[in-house]
Amino acid sequence: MEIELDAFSGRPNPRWETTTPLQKKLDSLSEKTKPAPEPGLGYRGFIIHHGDQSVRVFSGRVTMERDGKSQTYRDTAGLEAELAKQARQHGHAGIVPDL
Amino acid sequence: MSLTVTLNVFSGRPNPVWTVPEEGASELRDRVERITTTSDLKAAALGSLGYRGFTVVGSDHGIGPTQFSAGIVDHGHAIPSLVAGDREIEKWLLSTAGAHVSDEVKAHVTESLATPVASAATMVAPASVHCPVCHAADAPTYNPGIWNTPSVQPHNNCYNYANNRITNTFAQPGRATGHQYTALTCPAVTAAAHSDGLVVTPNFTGHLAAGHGWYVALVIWPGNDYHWYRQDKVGCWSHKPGQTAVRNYDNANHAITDPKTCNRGPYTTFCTYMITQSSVHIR
Repeated sequence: MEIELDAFSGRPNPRWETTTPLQKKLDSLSEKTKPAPEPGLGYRGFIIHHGDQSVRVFSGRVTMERDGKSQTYRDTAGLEAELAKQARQHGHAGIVPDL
Repeated sequence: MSLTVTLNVFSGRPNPVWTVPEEGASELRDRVERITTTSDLKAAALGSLGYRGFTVVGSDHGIGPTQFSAGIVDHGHAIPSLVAGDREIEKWLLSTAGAHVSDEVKAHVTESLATPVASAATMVAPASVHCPVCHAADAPTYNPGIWNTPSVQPHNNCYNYANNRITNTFAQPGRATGHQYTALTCPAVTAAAHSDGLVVTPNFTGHLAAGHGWYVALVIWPGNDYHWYRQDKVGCWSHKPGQTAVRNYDNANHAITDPKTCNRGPYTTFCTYMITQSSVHIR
């Protein structure tokens, strides 16, 4: 899986590969909610790229394709915190907020 | 693409919000496209209590926040309103609410929708936005539809948009000339853009005749990134934050009358205004 930190406007967003097993966490999500409003400039969350799939993680919510349609779930698995930790390890501490 | 619909009706409680699936998005688009009457005026305020209209946002951000109230479709401060002449779209939006809106609130909204539609006489000029005069004859028209499509949006950034040039390369200042910036500072990015053909200017008040370009502005997220705005023909400014959709409002959802003073999130350093033109080469 490849992680994209969605934050930049001019430069390409930072990306890195992860070997952390995230699929189990994604599969565990079940509490549906509404997508978070997109803030514009600055931190906009993470995009998990996995094959043709992309999953957006932002503001305590996870949006992904399930059963052929886009669904948003509460991030009850702590995905955003996990990805923020990875971002800091990759030198992007100044970009992600404290979660 | 699905739609997120907000019914603006409550004062203390959060307003009801629900999602309309793809089929509904198509129907709404068809209904809006059938409206042919436009106006630069906006719907008059309908009072602060009770039904005030609907706000609709597209899930892929291809549709910016659009207000539906009093028979008026309002795409934003700098875009002419569509005057429907009836309240069928609002009634249809209410019909998509399902269990997200109580029967009591539905009855209130239905009653409100039985009142006559807005006419030119009941519309007002947008009170809070006075776009500055655009002095550039070549300034682009605000045209988000060209940019907010799956084949264009992810591959073009703020620099593409400010220069009104789709390259699908996520264009970088100075890359076309071999002088790409090497630091995320005002001098470095300004110099890189200058090598592409952009020219520094102290303000956006000077007259630019046809063939002499339009105004853009550079801001910096110190040490992290840069961002560009452009002044559209209407006088207000618009921008494209990275891969996201083109918009004509800032991080506080306000129209942008001057990028120097608007809410820019972490892009706290205003660098300079510049002039670009169609002959500028970016990559």
